[in-house]
Amino acid sequence: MTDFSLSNDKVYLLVRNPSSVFICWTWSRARAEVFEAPGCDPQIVVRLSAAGDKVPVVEQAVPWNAGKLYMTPPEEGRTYTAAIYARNKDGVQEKLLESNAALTPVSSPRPGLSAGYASAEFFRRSPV
Amino acid sequence: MSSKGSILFLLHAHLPYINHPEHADFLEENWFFEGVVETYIPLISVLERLVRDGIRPGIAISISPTLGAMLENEHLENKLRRYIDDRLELIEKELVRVENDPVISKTVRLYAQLYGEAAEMIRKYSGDLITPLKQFQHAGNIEIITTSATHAVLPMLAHPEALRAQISAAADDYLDRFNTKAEGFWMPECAYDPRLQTYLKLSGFKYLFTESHAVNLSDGAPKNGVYVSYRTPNGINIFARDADSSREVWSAKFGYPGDPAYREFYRDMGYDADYDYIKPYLNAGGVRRSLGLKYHRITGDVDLAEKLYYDPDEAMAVVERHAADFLDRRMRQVEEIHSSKGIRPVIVGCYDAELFGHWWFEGPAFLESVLRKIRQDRLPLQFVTPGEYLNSCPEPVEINPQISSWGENGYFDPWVNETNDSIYPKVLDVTDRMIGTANRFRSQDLPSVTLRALNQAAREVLLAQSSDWPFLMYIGSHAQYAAERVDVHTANASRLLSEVLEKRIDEKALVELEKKNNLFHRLDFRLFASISKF
Repeated sequence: MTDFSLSNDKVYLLVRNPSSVFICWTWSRARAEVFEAPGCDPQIVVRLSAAGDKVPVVEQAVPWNAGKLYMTPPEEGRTYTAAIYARNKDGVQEKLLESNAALTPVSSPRPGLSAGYASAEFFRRSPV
Repeated sequence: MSSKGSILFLLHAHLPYINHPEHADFLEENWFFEGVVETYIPLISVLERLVRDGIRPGIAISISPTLGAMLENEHLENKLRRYIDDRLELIEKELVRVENDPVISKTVRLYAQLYGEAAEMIRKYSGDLITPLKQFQHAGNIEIITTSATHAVLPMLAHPEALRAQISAAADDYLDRFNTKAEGFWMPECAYDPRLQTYLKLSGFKYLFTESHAVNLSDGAPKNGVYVSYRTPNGINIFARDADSSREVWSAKFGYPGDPAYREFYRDMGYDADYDYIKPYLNAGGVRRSLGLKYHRITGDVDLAEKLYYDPDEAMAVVERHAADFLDRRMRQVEEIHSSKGIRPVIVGCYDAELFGHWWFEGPAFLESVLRKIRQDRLPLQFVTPGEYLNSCPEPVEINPQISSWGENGYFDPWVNETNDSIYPKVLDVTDRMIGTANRFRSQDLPSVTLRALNQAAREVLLAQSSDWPFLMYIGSHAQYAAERVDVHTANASRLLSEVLEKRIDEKALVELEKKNNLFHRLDFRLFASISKF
């Protein structure tokens, strides 16, 4: 859920792996009050677009105060941005926020190219 | 004998910044004391012995700025001395308690030697363990590199200003600590992102390390794989980790450290011994915890209770076998690459330094044995430092490495998942505020207290970005402490930025923060400004 001690209306896009990106957003108190007002649609739409392209490739509706979302970009090795839309008083979806651009990796065609996750190796043996 | 190839051995030494002067005893500070006694001092001892015997180690060591700051922290040094004294006192008692048991006695004597050497080295260098490392570097025996300021996984930083701040602060920190400009950069968690090239270049770095698939999946799939260095389009040299040599040393299950004869890490007398006997050596709360005295060997795939006693002599015999095996495999690897590709390959082995000694107790002995055997057996292999290799290698091919890490599955899953993603809104929000405030004040002449508050806010933001907090939350080890650290640093930064904007700085609280989170002494908040004056 959104933490209103944070100050800005902002959305960020982080890359997780070739098929998953993480999107998180914060709202200012003023924006939260708009969403909480009677009659306001509590759903927002998060749209993922390839950078420079106006057409969203994936979108998902979530509660405005969910604060985060994982999405699956359709293509590896591309730069994406995320945008948040909400319905305005005329019922039209209006863009509120746009994220930073982030490049997704390409997955390895040859499993085992990587030596594995070194730092977790010994923690994982822990019997505790 | 002339070499057919080279081994580039990089040890990455890092701990998160943990400094709690407000507590006489703080559990997580033990990570530092254990690291010093079990890894850093034994590695320095190995280097000293090799150099004394005329063997040039020729390895690279990455020392994170947070670890460097802890190694120079007098408060931690005093606690470290007490930690070592406490252990030596307990070991004295143990030597008496087990005097009629020749098996355990041998292991206790080993600990007496380990902690005795630690005490002696602390005394010899007046508590400053950076000094011998600096000396080794100045003499050309090793090469020391750095990493991002607080070991942030850089691709997780959405703001380019934050990338620049992490890299630039690390370069300044290295210059202050080692009196020379940093040339090599260890990507925390081997996490590469093409956005980094610009900032690494601006900070003067000449080479970096990446995971193997960053190179193997790059445009044009380089035909020589990870066995040569490459160059980014803006001229930074790239070394890629070799998976084969890494796995042999890394893997607790399939690699050398899992041998049944080696010391078992998780069976510790802090949990085994009579409570009243060890109570003086536990923390103030009296809760059982690891004391570093471990008397059992891995034994095999059995419960901790069924582990057999450790035999140091048997373990050392296995070390010798493993060192010979490691070199034999490298020889065959080099021969194969040499004949199939017609190049003199460089095998890049990158390891967390703390694996050697702390997790894998026999690790420092393994490293020493490997380095001695190359000389003794006159093997056509040589250890090279990154700078040496770059001075003699063929012109590197230009590539664009792929975004990647050495994390699970090769990307960023360990640092962004359901266990830890709650930290990102806080960290990114406070970073954004830091950038905005830096932009607002960057050109102003500021009163000293305002400047100090902004600089401390910048320190707190950097500390909140450390990769260790999401990692600990992910593995469920000290997860609450890690989450609290994110909360504390983001709250500290946020409060300081508000105080600056509202012109009501609480100087007493500022002084306390400056004492506690006292790294990056000449950090300038303007590093976070969008158009830097630097």
